[in-house]
Amino acid sequence: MIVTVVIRRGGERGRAERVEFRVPVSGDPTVLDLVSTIQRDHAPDLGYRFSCRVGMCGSCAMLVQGRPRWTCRTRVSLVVRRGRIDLAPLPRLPVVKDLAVDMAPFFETWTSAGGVFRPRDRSAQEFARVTPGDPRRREADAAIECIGCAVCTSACAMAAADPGYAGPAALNRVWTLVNDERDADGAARLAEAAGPGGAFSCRSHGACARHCPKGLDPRRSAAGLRRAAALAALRGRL
Amino acid sequence: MNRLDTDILILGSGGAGLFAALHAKAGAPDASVTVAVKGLLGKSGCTRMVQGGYNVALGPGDSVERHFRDTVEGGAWLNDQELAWKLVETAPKRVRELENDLGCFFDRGPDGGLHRKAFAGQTFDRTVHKGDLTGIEIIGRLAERVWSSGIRRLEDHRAAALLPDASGEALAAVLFIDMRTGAFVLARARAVLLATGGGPTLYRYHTPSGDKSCDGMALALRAGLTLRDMEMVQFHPTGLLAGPGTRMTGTVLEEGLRGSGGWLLTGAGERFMERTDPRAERATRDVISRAMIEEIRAGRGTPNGGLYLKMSHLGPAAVRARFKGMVERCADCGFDLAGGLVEVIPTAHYLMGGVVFAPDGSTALPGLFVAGEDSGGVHGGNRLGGNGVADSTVFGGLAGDRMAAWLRDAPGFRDPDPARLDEARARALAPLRRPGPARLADLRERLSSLMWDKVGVLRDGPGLAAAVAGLAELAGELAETGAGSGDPAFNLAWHEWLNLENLILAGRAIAASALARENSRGAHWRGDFPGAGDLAASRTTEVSVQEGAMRVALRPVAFTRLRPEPEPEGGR
Amino acid sequence: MSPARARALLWLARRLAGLGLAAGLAVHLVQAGGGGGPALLARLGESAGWQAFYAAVVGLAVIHGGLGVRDIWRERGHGLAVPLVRRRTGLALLALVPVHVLAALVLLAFPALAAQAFTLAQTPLHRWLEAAAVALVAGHAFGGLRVLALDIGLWSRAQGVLGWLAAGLTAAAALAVLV
Repeated sequence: MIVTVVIRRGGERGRAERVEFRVPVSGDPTVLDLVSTIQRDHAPDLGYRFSCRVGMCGSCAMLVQGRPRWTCRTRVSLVVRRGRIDLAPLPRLPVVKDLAVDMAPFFETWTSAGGVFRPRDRSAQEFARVTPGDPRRREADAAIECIGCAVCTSACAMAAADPGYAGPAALNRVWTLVNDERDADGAARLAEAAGPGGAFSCRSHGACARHCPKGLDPRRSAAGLRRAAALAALRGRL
Repeated sequence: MNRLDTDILILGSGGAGLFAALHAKAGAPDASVTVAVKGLLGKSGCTRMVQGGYNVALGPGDSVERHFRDTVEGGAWLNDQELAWKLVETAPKRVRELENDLGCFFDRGPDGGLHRKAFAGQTFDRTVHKGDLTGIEIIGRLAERVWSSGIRRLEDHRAAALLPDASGEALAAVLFIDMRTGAFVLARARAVLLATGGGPTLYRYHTPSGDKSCDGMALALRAGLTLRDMEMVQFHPTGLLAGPGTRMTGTVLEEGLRGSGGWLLTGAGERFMERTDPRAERATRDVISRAMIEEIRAGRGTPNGGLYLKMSHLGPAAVRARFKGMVERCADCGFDLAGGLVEVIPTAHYLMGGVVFAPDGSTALPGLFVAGEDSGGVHGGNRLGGNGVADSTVFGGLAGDRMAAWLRDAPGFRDPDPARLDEARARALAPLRRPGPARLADLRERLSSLMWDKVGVLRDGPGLAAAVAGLAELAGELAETGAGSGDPAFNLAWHEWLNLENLILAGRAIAASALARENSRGAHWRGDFPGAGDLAASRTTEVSVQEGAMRVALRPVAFTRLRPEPEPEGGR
Repeated sequence: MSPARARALLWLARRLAGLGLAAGLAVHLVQAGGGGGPALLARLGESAGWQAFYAAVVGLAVIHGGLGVRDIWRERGHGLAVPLVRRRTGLALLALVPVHVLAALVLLAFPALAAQAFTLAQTPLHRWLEAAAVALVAGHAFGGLRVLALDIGLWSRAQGVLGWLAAGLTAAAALAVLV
C-alpha cells in the first residue's frame, strides 16, 4: 500500500509548510517506522525524535491526524484515513525542527507546579510501611505511572486556552504527592494546587483521560485535588 | 564556536549521570554542575527502560557477602572484586536514598515492607522493583529533582571529542555539537563524567534505545583510554521479533516471564530447554541465548527466524495482571502475550565491558571519571539481571561525590590542546563535505548483520577474524561516505554518520577482544574454545587503540576477596 | 482568608448549589409537567411552603449562576475556548431562567392572564420551545451531576458512560415534553 504522509515542516511556529511524501508500506509498521523511512529514504534532513521506541520515554510523541499520540506504539493501519496520514509537532512547545520540539517549558511547568517529591526525612534508614491496600497509596498508584510524554497537556483544551494553567500532567503528579505519606508539606501542596492555574481551572473536559496512552486519568486526579482542597478549606487547614 | 565553562560536566542523563549530578551538587553546592545529553534529559537512555528491578541485600537472611558471591559467580570470576564489592556494599544505601530522599515508591508486600522478587542467577530473592517498570519510577524521580536543583542542562548536545590539555596529562574540555543549530560548543570543565550508557545497538537485534551508539566508549578509545572485557556482550534471550521493518523488533520481554514459568518453544511447538539445562527456562541468560541460537541454526526456528514464547499455560488472566506493560506492548504489535505465542529471539542487551576505572569513578586520565554501562569490570563476564540499575546508580553517586571532592584540589580551568581541538572539529565536519546519506542505511544494515552473525551469541576464530576484517572495511567505506551538504541544524543524517563511526570503533574493540579470549566464559562463547579454562588463572582482556590499530592485552584477575573453588560447575 | 481557601469554598458553594438546584428542578418538572402548570400556580398562590421552596430554588440559581458567570468573566480571554456543554447551556439559561421566573411572577400577580397563557402553551411552537428549554436545563443539570460524581470520587472510571447517560436522559426529558 502507498500512504501519503503530510508533514508540517519548519523551524518555528509561524513559518511552516506542509510537505507530502508518498511512501510504500508493507507489513504492519508503526508511525515512527514510517517517519524513519521518510527520513532515511526521502528527506535526510527531516527532524524528529525517538529514543526507547517502545512506549517508555515519550520522545516520539507528536500530532497524528491532529491528535497527540506516541508514534512508536501507533500502527499505521490504525490511523491511516483514505490513504493519508497527517503529522505535526506537539502544540505549544518551541519547535526545534519539523517534528522535534523542545520540552523544557513542559518540565518547567511541572516543576513550578510542585511536581517534585519533598522528603520528610531524607536520611531515614527505614522504609515507610505501606500496605498495598492503603487507600491513599492506591490513589497515588493509579496515577504514578506517568512518563511525562505531554500527550495529555497537548490534548487539553484548557491548556490550549490558558498559558498559565498547570495542565493535566503536572496536576496528576501533584495528586500522587498529596497521597504520598512520605512527602512532607501536604498542606502547602494543596494550597499550591488550589492556586491560580491549578486544579480549579480544570473543567473536567476529559481530553487528557481520553488521550493518555497509559490509560491514566489526570481529570480524576485534578478532581481529587479539588476535593482535598475543599475538605481542607472546611477544616480550616487551607 | 560557542564556549562555556562548568566546574563539573556530566555526559549522559541516565541513572549514573543524574545521580552524579545530584551528589556533585550536594557535595559542592557552589560549583556549576552541567548535564549534557544527546536528546532530552531523563528521556533518553536505558535506565528508564529497566523492567526487572534493583538487586539489593536488605532482607533478613540475605547479606552483602551473599550478593557479592552471586555477582562474582555470575560474572564467571572475571569481575574486579573491589568494584563488585563496592556495588553490593553501597546498594542498600542507594535504595534508601531512592525511597526516602528521592521519593521512589517500590512495591510493597502484604506486610507493608519492601517486596522482593526472584531473579535468575541469584541465591536469594533480593530484587526490589516497581511493578514491571522500575526504571521509569527511578528516572522520573531523579529527573524531577535535577530539574529543581539548579543543575544546568545541555539538551540535544552530542559530545564529539574528549580534549586533553596541551600536556596530554589531564582532561581540559569536551567538544560538543549543539544538535539544534549544528554549531560546535567548547565546554571547559574541571571534572568530566562519562556516563553515556554504552549500548550494543550495533547488533541486528538489540534492546537499547535507538539514540545510543557507544559514544562514550568511542570517545574514551580515541582519547587513549583502556577498555576491559569488551568481548562480553550480554544477550537477553527474549527479544520481540516483530519483523525487520519495525523498530519494535529487539525490545526486551522481561526475564520475569521465564522466571514465573514461561516456556520457550521451537517453530514446531516443542520445548527444548529441558534437554540443555536442568534449570530449563530458568537458567541464566547466556545459557538460554546459546541454546536458542543453536535451535535456530539447526533449522527448528519459526518462519521469521526466531522461537516462540508461551505464557498461556499459566492462565491468561494471571499473566495480564502480573505483566500488564508487556502484554500491552505485545498487543500493540499484534501479539497476544497472555493467551497466544509470541516470536522471540536473543537480543543484544548490555555491554559488561567498558572503561577501566576505580571504585570512586576515576580513570587513568585525570579529570575524567566514568560510571554506568560505559565502565567495565563490575560485572566481569556476565551481568546479573537487576545489577545494572544498581551499578549505574551506585557508581554515579560515588563519582559525583568524588568529583565534588576533586574540585577542592583540582586546578582551575585548562585550555584544550589547539591541535587536538582542530583535528576533532575537522573529523566531525568531514561527512558534511561528502555526498551520500543514502548509503548510511546500507552501512548500518551490514554492520548489524556482521556483528550478529560473527560476533554474536556463538562465535569462533574464523568468524571473529572475518569480523575484524569486515569492520575495518566498513570503517573505510564510512570514511568515504558522507551525510550530504545539508543544513547542519538537527541533521539526523549527519548524526547517523557519527553514530556509525562510534559503533564501528566499538565493534572493532569487541571483535578484537573476542579474538583474544581463547576460552568460553560468561557471555562469550567460542566453538573453537568451548572450555572455560582454569578459573584460578582467569584473565581479562584490555583493549586500546594504538597507532590506529586495536591492541589487546590479557591481565590476570586479582581475587582480592573470594577465590574460585577448584571444581567449576558445568555450564557456567 | 487566603485566595486558595476562597477559591476552594466558592467552588464548593457552586457545586452544592448546583446539586440543590438539580433536586429542586426535578421536583419542579414533575409538578409542572404534563399540564400541571395551572395547578402549580394555584398552589404557589396559596401555600407558604411552596413559596418558600421556590424562593430557595431561585436563590440557589442566583448563587450557582452568579458564580458560574464570575468564572467565565475571570477567564474572559478564553472563557468559551474550552468546549463545554455546561458553559454554553449555562449561558443560554442565564437568559432563559429570568424570563421564565418573571413570567411566573406576572401570572401569579395577574391570575386573569393565566387562562390565556396556558392556552398559548398548547400550541406546537410553544411545545417545541418548551422542549428546547427542558433540553437546555436537563443537559446542564445532567452534565453537572456527572462532573459532581467525578468531583466526589464516585464512579470516576465510568465518566464516559455517564456522559452518554446524561445525553440520553436529556433527550428523554425533552421528548417527554413533546409527547
